[in-house]
Amino acid sequence: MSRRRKAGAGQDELPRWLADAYAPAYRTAFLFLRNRSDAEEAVQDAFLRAWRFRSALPSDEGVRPWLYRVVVNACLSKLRADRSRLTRSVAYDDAATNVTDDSDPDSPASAAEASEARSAVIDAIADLPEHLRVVVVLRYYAQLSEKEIATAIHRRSGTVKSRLHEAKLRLGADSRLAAHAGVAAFTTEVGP
Amino acid sequence: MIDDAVLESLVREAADAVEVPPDGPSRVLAARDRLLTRRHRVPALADRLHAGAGWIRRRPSRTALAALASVVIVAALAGALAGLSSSTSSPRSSSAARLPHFSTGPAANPLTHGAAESGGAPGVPASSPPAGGTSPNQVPPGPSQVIKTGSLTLQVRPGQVDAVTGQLTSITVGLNGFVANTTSSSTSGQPATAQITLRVPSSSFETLLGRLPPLGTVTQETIGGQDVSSQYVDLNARLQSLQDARTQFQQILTRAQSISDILAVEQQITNLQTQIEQIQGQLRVLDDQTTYGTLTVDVVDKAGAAAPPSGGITKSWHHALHSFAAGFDSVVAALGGIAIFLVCALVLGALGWLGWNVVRRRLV
Repeated sequence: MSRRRKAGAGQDELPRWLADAYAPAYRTAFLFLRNRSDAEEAVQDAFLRAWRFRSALPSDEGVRPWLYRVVVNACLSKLRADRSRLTRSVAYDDAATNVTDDSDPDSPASAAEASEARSAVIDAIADLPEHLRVVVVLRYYAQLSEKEIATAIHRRSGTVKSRLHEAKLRLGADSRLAAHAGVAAFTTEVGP
Repeated sequence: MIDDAVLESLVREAADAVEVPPDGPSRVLAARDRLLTRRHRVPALADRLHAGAGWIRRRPSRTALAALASVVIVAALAGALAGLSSSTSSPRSSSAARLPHFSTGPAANPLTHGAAESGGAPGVPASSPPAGGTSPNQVPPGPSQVIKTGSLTLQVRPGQVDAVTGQLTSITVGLNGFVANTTSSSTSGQPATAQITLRVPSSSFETLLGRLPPLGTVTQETIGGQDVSSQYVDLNARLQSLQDARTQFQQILTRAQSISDILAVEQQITNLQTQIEQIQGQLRVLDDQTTYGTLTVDVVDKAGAAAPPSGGITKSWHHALHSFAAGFDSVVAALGGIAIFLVCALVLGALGWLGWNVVRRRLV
C-alpha cells in the first residue's frame, strides 16, 4: 500500500481536516501566541499550507504530527514576524471574555478560581521559551508522543525528552502553578 | 518538578476553556476558494518544488542521486570557470615591449596642447616612415643569432684530472676562447673532480667539442642552441625607435618656451634614455651570449665514478627499487588529485544537503 497519497486524488480533504482538527489546532496556536486573532491567522495559514502540499501528506498515522508540524511552523513564523507584541496579559484578557465556563453557575467563587487557574497555567506556559513551550503544548495538550513531537518539530526524540524535562522543572518552580495545582502535585527529584 | 498527570490536566483544562471561533473553518474554506480562483492552471513554483521534494524524499537513493548530481554540476561549472580564466590570461605579450605611446594627442603632451592653439608648432613626435625606402626603424635582416651551450662529463684516468683540466684550458685559449670558471675538489680518500666552464667563439664551438674525446671518456653530453634572432631584431627595432623619439624630443626642447614645458620635455627624454639603456644592456648580453659559446665540462677521475651494477641480482635490485619509487610517485600523484576531488565533493555535498534541508523546512 502506498505510503503517500497522490495529489488531487479523490475527495476534498480540507473540510474533513477542519472538522476534525480545527479546534485543537486553534487552541494549540492560542497557547503559543496568546492572541486570538494571531492564532486564527496562524491556523488558517497552516491549513491552507497543508492543503496546498497535501500530495506530500504521510500515511494516516502520520497525519496528526504532520498537521501539528505545519501549525507549529505557522505559529513560529508569526512569533518571529512580530517580536514587538503587546503584553500577554492583555491578549489573555481578550480570550478570557469568551472562555467557556463549565463550572457551577451557582458558585461564582469556584468559577473565579477556575478562571484564575486557567490564567495561571496559560501565563506559566507563555513565559516558557519558545522551544520549551512547543514541546509542552504538543505533549500535554495535543497528546503527541515524543516521537511524534520529534517529527513535528524536526528534532531528535532525545532532544524532545530533554526539553520536556527542562520545561517541567521550570513549571514546577513557577509559583503560580504551585498555588493552583497543590503540594501533592509536585514530585521531588531524587538525585543519583 | 511538576507531575505529568497534573500538568496534563492543567494544560488541557486551560486549553479546552478557550473558545474556538465558530466561523473559523468556514473562513479557511473561503480563503481556499479565493486561492483556487486566483491561481493559474500551472502550479506555483513552491508547489512544484515541494512535489519535486516529495518525489526525491520517497527514495533515499534519489536523494543521494540528487545530491551527487548537484555536486557534479557545481564541480563542472567550477572547472569550466577555472579553465576559462586560465585561457583568458595571456602571457606577457610583445605589446609590453612596444614603445611608449607618446603620440596619443594633445593631453599627452603639454606642448602640443598649447602649441595647437598658437598654430604652426611642431606636432607630437611620431615615427612615420619617410617617403620611399625602408623605415629607419626597420633593422635589415642578418645572420641567425644562436646561443650555443653545452655540458658534458669527461672521465679521465686516475690522477689525470688536473692534467686534463690544463689541457682543456690550452685548447680553449688556442681557439681564441677563455676559461670562465674553474672549480676542483681533491679530498684525501676521495677521487679528484673538477668543473671547468669554457667559452670559445661560436664558430669554434664544434671544434672544441671535437678536441675532447682524446682526453677521456665522454659519459654524458648535452649540447643545445637557442635561436634568439627574433629577439635580437625586436630589441634593435625598439632601440632605434627610442633613439629617434629622443632625438625629436631634444629638438622640441630647443623650442620650449616655458619652464613647465622644458621640465615636461626633459622628463620625457629621461624616460626614453632609461629605456634605451635597458635595451642596450639586453643587447650586450645577447651579443656576448651569441658571440661566445659556453661549454661546462665535469672532469671526473675514473676511480671515483659510480660503478654500474655488475649485473644479475644487484642490477635487478636497483631496477626494482627504481621502479618501485617511480610507481609510488605515480600513485601518490594520482591519489592526491582524487583526494582533493573527494574533499571538494564532500564539502559541496554537505552544503547542498544543508541548503536542501532549509528549503524543505520552509516549504512546509
